[in-house]
Amino acid sequence: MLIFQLLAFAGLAAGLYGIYLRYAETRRRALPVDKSPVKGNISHGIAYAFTTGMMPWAKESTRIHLIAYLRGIGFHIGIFAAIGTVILSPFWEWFPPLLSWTLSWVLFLGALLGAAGGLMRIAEHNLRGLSLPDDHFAVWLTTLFIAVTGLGLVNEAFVVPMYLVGAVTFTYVPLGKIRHCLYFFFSRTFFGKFFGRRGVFPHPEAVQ
Amino acid sequence: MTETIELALKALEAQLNQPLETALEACARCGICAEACHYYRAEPRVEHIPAHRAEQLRSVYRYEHDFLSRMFPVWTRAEKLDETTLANLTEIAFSQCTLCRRCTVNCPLGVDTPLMMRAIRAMATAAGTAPEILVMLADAAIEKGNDPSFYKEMFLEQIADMEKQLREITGDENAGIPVEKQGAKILYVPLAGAHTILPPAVVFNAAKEDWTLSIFEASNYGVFLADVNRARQVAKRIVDEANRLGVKEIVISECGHAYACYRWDVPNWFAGRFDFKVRSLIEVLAEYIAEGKIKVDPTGIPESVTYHDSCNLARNGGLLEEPRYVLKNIVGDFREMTPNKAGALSLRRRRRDRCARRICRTKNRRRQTQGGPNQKHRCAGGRCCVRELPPADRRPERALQLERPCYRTDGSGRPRDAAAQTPARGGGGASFRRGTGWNSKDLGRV
Repeated sequence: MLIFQLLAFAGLAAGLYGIYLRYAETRRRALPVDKSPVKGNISHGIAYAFTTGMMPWAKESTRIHLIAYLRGIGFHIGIFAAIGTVILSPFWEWFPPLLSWTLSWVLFLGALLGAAGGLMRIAEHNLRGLSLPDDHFAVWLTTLFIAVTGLGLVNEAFVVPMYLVGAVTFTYVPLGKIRHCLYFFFSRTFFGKFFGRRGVFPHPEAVQ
Repeated sequence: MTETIELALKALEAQLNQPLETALEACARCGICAEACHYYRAEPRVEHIPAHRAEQLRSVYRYEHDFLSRMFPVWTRAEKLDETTLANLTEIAFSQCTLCRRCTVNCPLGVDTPLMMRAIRAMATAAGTAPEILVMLADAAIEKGNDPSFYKEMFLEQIADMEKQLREITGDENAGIPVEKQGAKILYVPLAGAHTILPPAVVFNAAKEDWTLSIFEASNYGVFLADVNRARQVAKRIVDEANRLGVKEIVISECGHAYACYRWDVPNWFAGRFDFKVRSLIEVLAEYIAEGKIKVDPTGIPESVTYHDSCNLARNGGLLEEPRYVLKNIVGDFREMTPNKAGALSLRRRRRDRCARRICRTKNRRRQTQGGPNQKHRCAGGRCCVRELPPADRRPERALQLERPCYRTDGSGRPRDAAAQTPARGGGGASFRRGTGWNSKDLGRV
C-alpha cells in the first residue's frame, strides 16, 4: 500500500513540478505595461473577475447554459475534493464518519457530472467538433479519478486503484488540457486588469 | 519552410507575451462562448464558435511550443504552419471575427480570443497575406501624414463650404470651423466625411468651445492590420499635430476603433511624449449637457428609442453611461434592450456577405422584440449595421430608424423649432435637420 501511496505522491510532485515549469515559462514572457490613463479601477476589476464575475448570473452565456455551467462547477468541486481526499489519505482513519460520508457523496456526484460532461463531448455536435483527443482523455481520466477516490473512501479494495489513477492524473496535469487550472488564474487576472482599467467591470450598466 | 511562413512564425514569436500565451493555453473547449458570437448566432456552425476559431492558431502554437503536441500531434491536433493554414487563419482573423470581445466577457475563464485574432492579423500582415485594401489604406494615410500640403488646400476649401452650411444651420454669422488653430483647447479629429464634421461643429459653436479641427481623419487602418509600426505612424500625424498646436485634449469623433486606438493604444506607443487627454465626442457631449453648455429638447424625439452599444466604446472602452445620458436628454421614451452590445465593426468589409447580413437581421430581431422602433448607434460600426440591414427592413413603412445620437441645437445653444427637428422617416430619420449631410449621407443609401 505504501508503495502505491508513494507512487501517487510522486505523481503529485511531478504534476506540481510540471505546473511550476509552465508557470515559470509563462512568467518569463514579457508582461506588457499599459501606459494609458486608467478610467476605472484595476484592483476592483481583478476582484470582480474572481468573485461576482464568476457567478452564473454575471454572464449571458452562463445564464443561457445554466445547467452546463453548474455541471462544470460540480465537476470541478469533485476534482478538488478528490485531490484533497488523496492528499489526506494517510489520515482517513481519523476522519469523522460524517465527513467521509459527505466527501464520498460529493465525489460520486462530481464523477457523475464528469461522466455527463464526457458524454456531452461525444453526443453534442458543437462540443464534438471542438474536442480534441486530449479533451476526451482528460475528462474521462479525471472522472475516473474522482470515482475511484470516492469508492476508495468507502471500500478499501479501491484504494490501490485510487493511488494508481491519481498518479496518472497528477502526472498528466501539466501535459494536457488539465493545465488550464494554472492558466485560469492568469486569464482571469488579465481579464480583470483589462476591463477594470477601462472601467467596464465592475459596472452596473455592463451587461453582456 | 518558405519565407512567408517564416515571417508569419516570427511575427507570432514576437507577440508571444504573457496575455497571449495565457489565451493560447487557457481554453477548456467547453463551447459556452458559442452564443456570445454574433457570427455563430447568425449561422450556428462549429466554425463560428470563438473557441474553434482560436483553436486554429492554437494548433500552430502547440506544434511549435508544446512537448506533448510535438511528440503526438494527433493528440492535440497540432499542425505545422503552411501556406494553406496561413490562408485559413487570415480568412478567420480578418473576416470571421470583429474583435468585439463578447466571447471573452462570456467565457468562464475569460479567454481573450480577440487577442489571438489580432496576433493572426499581425502574422498575416508580416507575411504579406493581409487584405491588400487595408494595407493600401494604411500606407495612404501614412503618406498623407508625410506631406499634408498635397491635399490641404482642397481640404480647406471644403471646410470653407461647410462653414457656409454651418452658418445657415445655426443662423450665427460668427460660427466657424477653425483649422490648425494654435493654442486651442480641443483638437477634434473627425472621420473622412462631412457627417462627422458639421454636426459636432454645430455643438462646439453652440457650447462656445475653444476648438480646432484636425486636418487628418481618425481612422487608423494600421490597427485593423494589427501592425503596430503602421498604426503608430498613422497615429503620429495626429499626435504631432496636437503637440504642434499645443492643445489640451484630443476629441475623437464617433468612430469606436479610432477612440480605442487613441484612448488605449496610442499612450503606449508614444509613452511620455504628449500630455493631452483623449476623449470621445460622446463624453464631451454628455459634459456639455450636464454643465448646461448646450441646451437640448428632451421631448424633441417623441418615438421610443433604444441604444445599441458599440463594442469599442462600451465593452472595450467603458463608455456606458455617457451615451445613455445624452439619449435620455434628447428622447422622450428611452428603452434598454438586453443584450445591448455590438460587435459589428468589421462587418463593413463583408457587407455583401450572407453571414454579415444575417448578423444584422439577428440584431434587428432583438431590437424589434425588445426595443422601440428607433435604434441609435454610437459608432461607425453601428452605421455599418444600418447599411447592412436587409432591404426589407429599411423601408419607411417598417418605421425603422437606425441613427446615431444627434445634436439638436441652434447656434445659441437653444433647441431649434419643432418643425426643423421633426425626424424624417425613411430618408434617414436622424433628428438633425436635413441638408447637413448628417441624414442623407449616412442613411440615404439605406
